[in-house]
Amino acid sequence: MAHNAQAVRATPAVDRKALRLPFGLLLAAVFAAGSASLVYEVVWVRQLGMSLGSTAIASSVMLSAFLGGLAVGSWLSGRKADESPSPLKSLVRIEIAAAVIGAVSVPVLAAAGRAYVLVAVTTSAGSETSLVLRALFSLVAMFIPAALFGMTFPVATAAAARLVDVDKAGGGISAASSFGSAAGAAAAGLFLEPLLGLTESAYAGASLNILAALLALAALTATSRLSRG
Amino acid sequence: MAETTHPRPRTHSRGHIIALLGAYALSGAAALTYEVSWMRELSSMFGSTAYASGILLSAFMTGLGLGAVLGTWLAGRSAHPLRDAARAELAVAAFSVITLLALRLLPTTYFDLIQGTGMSGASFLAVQFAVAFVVMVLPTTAMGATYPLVIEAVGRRRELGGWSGRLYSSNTAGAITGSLLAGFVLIPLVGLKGALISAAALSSVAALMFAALAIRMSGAPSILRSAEYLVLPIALLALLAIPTSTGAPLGIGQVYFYESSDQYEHLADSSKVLYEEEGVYSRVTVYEDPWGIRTLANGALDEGNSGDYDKTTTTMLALAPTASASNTRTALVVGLGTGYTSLAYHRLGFEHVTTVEINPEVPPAATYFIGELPQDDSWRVIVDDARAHLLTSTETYDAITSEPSWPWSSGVAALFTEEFMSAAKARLNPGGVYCQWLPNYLLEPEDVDMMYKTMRKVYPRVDVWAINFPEDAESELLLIGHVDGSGPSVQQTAERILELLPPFSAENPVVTEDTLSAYSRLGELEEAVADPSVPLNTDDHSTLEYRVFRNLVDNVISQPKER
Repeated sequence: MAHNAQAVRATPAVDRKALRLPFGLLLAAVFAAGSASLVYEVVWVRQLGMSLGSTAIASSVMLSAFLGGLAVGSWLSGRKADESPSPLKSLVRIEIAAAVIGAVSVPVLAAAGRAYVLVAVTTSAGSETSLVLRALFSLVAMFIPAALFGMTFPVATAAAARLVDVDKAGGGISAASSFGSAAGAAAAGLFLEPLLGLTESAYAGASLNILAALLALAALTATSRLSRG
Repeated sequence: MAETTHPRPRTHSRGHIIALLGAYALSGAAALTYEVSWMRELSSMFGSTAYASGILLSAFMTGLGLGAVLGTWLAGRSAHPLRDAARAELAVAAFSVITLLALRLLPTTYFDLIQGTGMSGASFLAVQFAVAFVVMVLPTTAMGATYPLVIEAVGRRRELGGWSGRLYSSNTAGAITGSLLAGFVLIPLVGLKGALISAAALSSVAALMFAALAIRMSGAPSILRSAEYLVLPIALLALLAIPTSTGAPLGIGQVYFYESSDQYEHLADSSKVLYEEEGVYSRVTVYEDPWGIRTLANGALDEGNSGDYDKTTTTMLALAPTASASNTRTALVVGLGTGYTSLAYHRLGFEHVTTVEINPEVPPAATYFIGELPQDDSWRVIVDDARAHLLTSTETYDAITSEPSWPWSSGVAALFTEEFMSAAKARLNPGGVYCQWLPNYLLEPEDVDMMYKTMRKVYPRVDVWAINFPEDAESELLLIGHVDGSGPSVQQTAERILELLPPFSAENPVVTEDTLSAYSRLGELEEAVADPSVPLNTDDHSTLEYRVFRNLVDNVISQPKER
């Protein structure tokens, strides 16, 4: 199973058209993961803002922590994804971990917010200390989960590179991720938050991660069948 | 572009890699500078609602997705993808001119498009998405095309994951820098147009770097055609030539007050701008109309004016809690606005009046309404988020008035929830009161039920006073929560209100003995408290925010104007 993707590519008998199915499933997984990521971004910034405040600086600190996590996760996972015997399997694991983190994220962020308030009150923090504290709590609360989400993009690209040409792999994953983000942003703002509230919106995000994991698993299964057949 | 792919050198020096990642980081910085600038303008038109945020972000990302599809198609056919990436960046700069033009011309069209059409909430949001998408589609598509072209130029199959990680992270690092630069430096210092020119310059530098790298890394025979170089100066000159907008922007805040964009623009043209400052949140403007009425605009939202009606409301927001509290020494006002409420507390004899205002541009604007602020310890304005201040401060007050901006704004909605009311309660002295302003003219009875039930969950006693205008009874509501059972009865409060009125009614003909009255639906409100089907307005379910916006669309924006 571990080298199925390479095996598929190396076997001339495998019709390239047959790889469309696993590639399509992979794109669908990236779309779902991209949607989940934007749902979390919207929900988390709002939840943490309840305690850290909605000033321009506080909002920027929170958003930067989230984006910074994405960047670091992406950087760290890229090379390992190329060396991975099965990036699709890695993608399944990442999405399951993201679903777990997403599902518990709102109460955890609420607790982080309460912890910030406690520290700020205890230390009688002035405005500059308060800003440092807000940055610190944002980093702790958002950086690590965002880093996990950041792993999706390079891992999915590495998986795609074993199925299709370089241009289609890079561009396809980018397009799926962008369209997924667009859908996630619209869903969070127009439907999830107004109808479900923050906690259940995060559950919806977790469901999207589970969907992404299932789609990646289906892609993995499809490539396995191709290599056997 | 029709050339077929030929072998490109696939090993790259460390210097080339660093330059490539730098160029892509610049591209990310430019993208977020555009995004922050465009969204700020569009948010003024649409309102800073959670709906609008979702729509704007979605429209932007949809453009990027279309660009990725286009870039993928180009990458498969391009002999020199980095050169085409350079062209994509130049296209971003060129298209940003069209977007700025659209942002200048669109508000009046949009205003008239949404006025009195009878459209439903869903249609209204669809129109917002369509407008945002059309405005941003060209430059965002060009932005989205860059990544597939760059990765096609450098990525080998077995290292594609590594390259995508490096490119994604460098672009995101640039994006973080761009968002901070745009929000905190460029827009406040050089305004929206200056920020967009800076973004176009960043795109152009990224383009030139990609073009140079195309020669070094993939052996492109030439950089760009001469005509293509002209795109940069033409775009910058065009951006410079587009006139800067001044005065209060035309947006959702004006829909309530004006029948058409013409009416608003006629008034704006004949008004005098007294104060204008582009800040990190919005452009704050004070303008005076031909009748001498001054208005405070925060972005495109009218936050208050010097007219008798608005002054009546802002004065009652201090007078009613003063009459309800056991002690009248210290007061906190959430949201300075025109400053009339804080001033009224001062005039009512409070020794210390603290006001928390999130927007640093508002306190200087308030001086155009209440004059120079007192420079002693009886008066203090703290620039911070009121909720964060209440949570982290240890000071206590005899009265707290919460009169933030419109509850449909996503940042403001957190000042109407059960958790915020609890945070305020924790800062009240024994016998203290919390006063919550509600724009009843935008609420349905079930919305008032929800807010009363939420207040009653936090406060053991809640009095509800209605503000009546000559032709508009119960236009606004003041919910007064008592921290404990002490304090004057409703009858005693009514008597104290009458005692406190004379100095205010002497200078404002709208303030009369009938201005404040007990709310007519008190009995129904108590029934709502026991009704499990009536929801609470909480941090997790910020229902009021969405209901008020829906009411605004259904009952105001889409209705033909007859005022």
